[in-house]
Amino acid sequence: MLKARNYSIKKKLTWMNMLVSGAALLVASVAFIVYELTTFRLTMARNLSIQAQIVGANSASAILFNDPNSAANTLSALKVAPNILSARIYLPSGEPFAVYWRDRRGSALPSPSIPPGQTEAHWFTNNALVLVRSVEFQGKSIGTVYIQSDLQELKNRLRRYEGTVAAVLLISLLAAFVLSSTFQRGTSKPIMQLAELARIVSREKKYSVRAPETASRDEVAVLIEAFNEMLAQIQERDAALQQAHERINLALKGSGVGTWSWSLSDNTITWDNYMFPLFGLEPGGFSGTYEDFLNLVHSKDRERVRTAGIASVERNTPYDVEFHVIWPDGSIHALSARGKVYRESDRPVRLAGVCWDISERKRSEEERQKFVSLVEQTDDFIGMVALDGRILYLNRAGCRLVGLEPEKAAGTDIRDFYPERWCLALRDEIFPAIVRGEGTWVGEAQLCHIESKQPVDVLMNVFPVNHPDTGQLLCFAMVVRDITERKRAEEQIRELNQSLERRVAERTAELEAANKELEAFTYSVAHDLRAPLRHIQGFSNALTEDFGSQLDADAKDYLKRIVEGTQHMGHLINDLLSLAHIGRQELRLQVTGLDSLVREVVRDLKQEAEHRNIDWQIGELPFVDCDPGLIKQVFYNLLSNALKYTRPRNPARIEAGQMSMNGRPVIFVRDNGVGFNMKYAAKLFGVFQRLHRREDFEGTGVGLATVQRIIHKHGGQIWAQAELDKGATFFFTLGSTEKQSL
Amino acid sequence: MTAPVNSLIVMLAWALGATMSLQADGAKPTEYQVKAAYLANFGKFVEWPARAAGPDNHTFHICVLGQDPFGPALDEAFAGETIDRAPLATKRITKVQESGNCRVLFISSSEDAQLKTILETLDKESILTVSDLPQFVKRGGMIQFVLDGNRVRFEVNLVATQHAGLILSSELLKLAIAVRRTP
Repeated sequence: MLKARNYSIKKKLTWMNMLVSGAALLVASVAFIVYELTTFRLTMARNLSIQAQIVGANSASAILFNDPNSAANTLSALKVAPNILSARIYLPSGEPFAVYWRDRRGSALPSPSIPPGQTEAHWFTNNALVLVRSVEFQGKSIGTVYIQSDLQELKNRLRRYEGTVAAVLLISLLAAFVLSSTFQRGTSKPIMQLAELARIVSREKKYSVRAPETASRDEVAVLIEAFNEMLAQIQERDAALQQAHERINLALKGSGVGTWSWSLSDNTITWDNYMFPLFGLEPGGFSGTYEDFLNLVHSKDRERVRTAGIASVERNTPYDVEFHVIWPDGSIHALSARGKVYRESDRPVRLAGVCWDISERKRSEEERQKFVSLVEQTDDFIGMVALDGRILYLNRAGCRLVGLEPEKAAGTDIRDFYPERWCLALRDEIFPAIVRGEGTWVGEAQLCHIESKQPVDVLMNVFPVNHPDTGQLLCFAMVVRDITERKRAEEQIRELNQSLERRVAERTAELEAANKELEAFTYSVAHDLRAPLRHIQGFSNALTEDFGSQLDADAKDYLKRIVEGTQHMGHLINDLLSLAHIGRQELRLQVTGLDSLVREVVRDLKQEAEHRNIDWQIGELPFVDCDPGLIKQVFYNLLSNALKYTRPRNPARIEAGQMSMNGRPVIFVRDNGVGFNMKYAAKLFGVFQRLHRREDFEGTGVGLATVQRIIHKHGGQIWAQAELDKGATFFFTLGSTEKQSL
Repeated sequence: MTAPVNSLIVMLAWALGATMSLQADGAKPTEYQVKAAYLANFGKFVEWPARAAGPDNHTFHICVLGQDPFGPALDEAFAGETIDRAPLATKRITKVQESGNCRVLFISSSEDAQLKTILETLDKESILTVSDLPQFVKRGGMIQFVLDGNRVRFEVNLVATQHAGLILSSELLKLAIAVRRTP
């Protein structure tokens, strides 16, 4: 029967038909035989009963009149029935009365009993039918007839039936076979074609084929139709699947997501082509065993990955794990894998899912974490507020400022920590302005502690947070700084400033008064000194003119010296007066070309030193807004100084020009004279300060002081650079030169 | 057959069985016991004409004329017996004229001398006459007991029975050792 499973449907149909018809015939035949035999047995019993009745009736008188011979005679009539083996008549006492034997005499058994209430009983033994009947006469039982019949006829009949049934079965099965083989073709052929088609479809995955339609409208036709329909659907789905597969492939290709499947039965892992790059491997560079996979995982994550896999399988939970892998080049990459457990008949068979590189995300997460900690660590209130005024996020400093628990911050209404005035301002001015797109609102405001309502002065920045793509306003961001301290400091500074200004004004006034006094004093002294000096000069000149011939050489020399002294003193006084004058003089500013101004000075000086060999180098000079008289004085003083201190040089070189120093235009005057020691540079611009002996170089010691005063008056600066015997350079700026520089 | 009749038969069968077995177990039945049984049985194989019933139709009278040789055997044999539903009853008579409602008349050997008269008296009366008188059948009696060895047999006079309008069953006739068919 095991073999029958593999039979073709054709064979099965034939067999089935034959089996069915054979079984039906067999059952029918058996039923027929059983029925026939039962009927025949009943007939036999009935016939025997009739014979017993006849015998009984015919023996009644013999019994009544105790005539066993007569009874034996009656019994012997049974000879005509060859089936009767033996017949007996018993008296009611059970005593045999008359006996008949067909073949040979046997022993007369005692009378079998008839069940009470019945007149007759019969039963079949192995070889015989036994019938016992009571002999009734006039309603009274007067004896018992016993007849034993053989079953030859029954056996003959059975044998005949068996033969007939066997023949009928054989012929019927043959006929069934022939008919079935003929008729089953109509049924099995389409099925076999269908089966062949199914084989083609499953082997070649060719879904475009179709089974030929049949003319009949039976279940096979329905099957064929359904099969074709199914094929059409599969073809459609196959195409859709193909498309979906291509789409997924494109998506996977573009997204860098790989798919994997861990088969639990053989502990192997299957990767798609996108998995390999995630592990830095060439396609096919992975053996597929679970242990090898674990070896690719960074050792610190390995145990976690293993545990996560086991946990998912055992608890049937989603697989979600992040881990690091080490590429063959040694670099470490963070991956995320997600998957689910697939079960078959309630048993987990595989864990499959996707995997992608999250190094970038990790990095940005870390970056973000940095920013978050920055925001969290800062002392400024930084928060995000939803459009309805509820807090989305508030940093630690913010919570501290308004007295909120950090974990309860989200959802709190910001009006809880703004004084009413500022609630209104936010509602009516600040937020609407931002919504209108007016950008950041910055200004001083007030918050208050959420419980104590103690106001806090703050500098508040409110700006919109827009969707990066659509520009839609998402929420408001607030950066608020507690400026209580600053306010206090400002207040103090303001107060300090005020007192300072007052004091400065006072001092300035005092100083100005003192200055004026001093200048008036200087002027008057100088002015007053001039009169006696003029006397000395005048009388010295008169003495020389009037009594020169009377005076000897010594006297003349003395006089000459007096005159020289007074001249020098006159110079001094003039210089001092000029210095004082500069202090008092108002600047008369006008645009002046320094070029021509310097040339004028040089021309004058050249006349003074026409016997000297001097190399004048005058460079380009700018136009500046200045007092031309005073600036000419500056150049005069500086250039005449240069001329003076280059006296020992032959040739002397004197330069003037403009240069850039630290991005600022600077004017310089340079010489190759005797220079000076820089440690005395601080004294250079003091009144009456001289770095050289008057015997070597004449001068009043007021010139550079004058120069400095003029420069200062113009808002500029002056300084010098020199080295002993190596010349000196004076630099100066004019406050206005910057504006005027060309 | 109805249930009561059935049960009756069973009871009778038992009763008969009991008596038979008593006889079987005990001594062989006496000659007159057998003859008494025969007397009871003869009536069962005889057809009487319609007029035969007599005034007492509900009892089947078996009469003994003359000196009763049976003793209690007759009553014993008849106890519980019926013929055509009529219970058997013994009637002992001394004169033939008393045999008005008798169906079977046993003529005792004591009546040997008056036998001719008796038979003539009865003439065409539908009464089955039985006797163990010698030559009874020849002398015009109907059934005569004879002894065949130690077995009780009988002879039948069909002429006499036909004369009396009685029809004897062939069953009875086949048991008779002799049947007289001609006068």
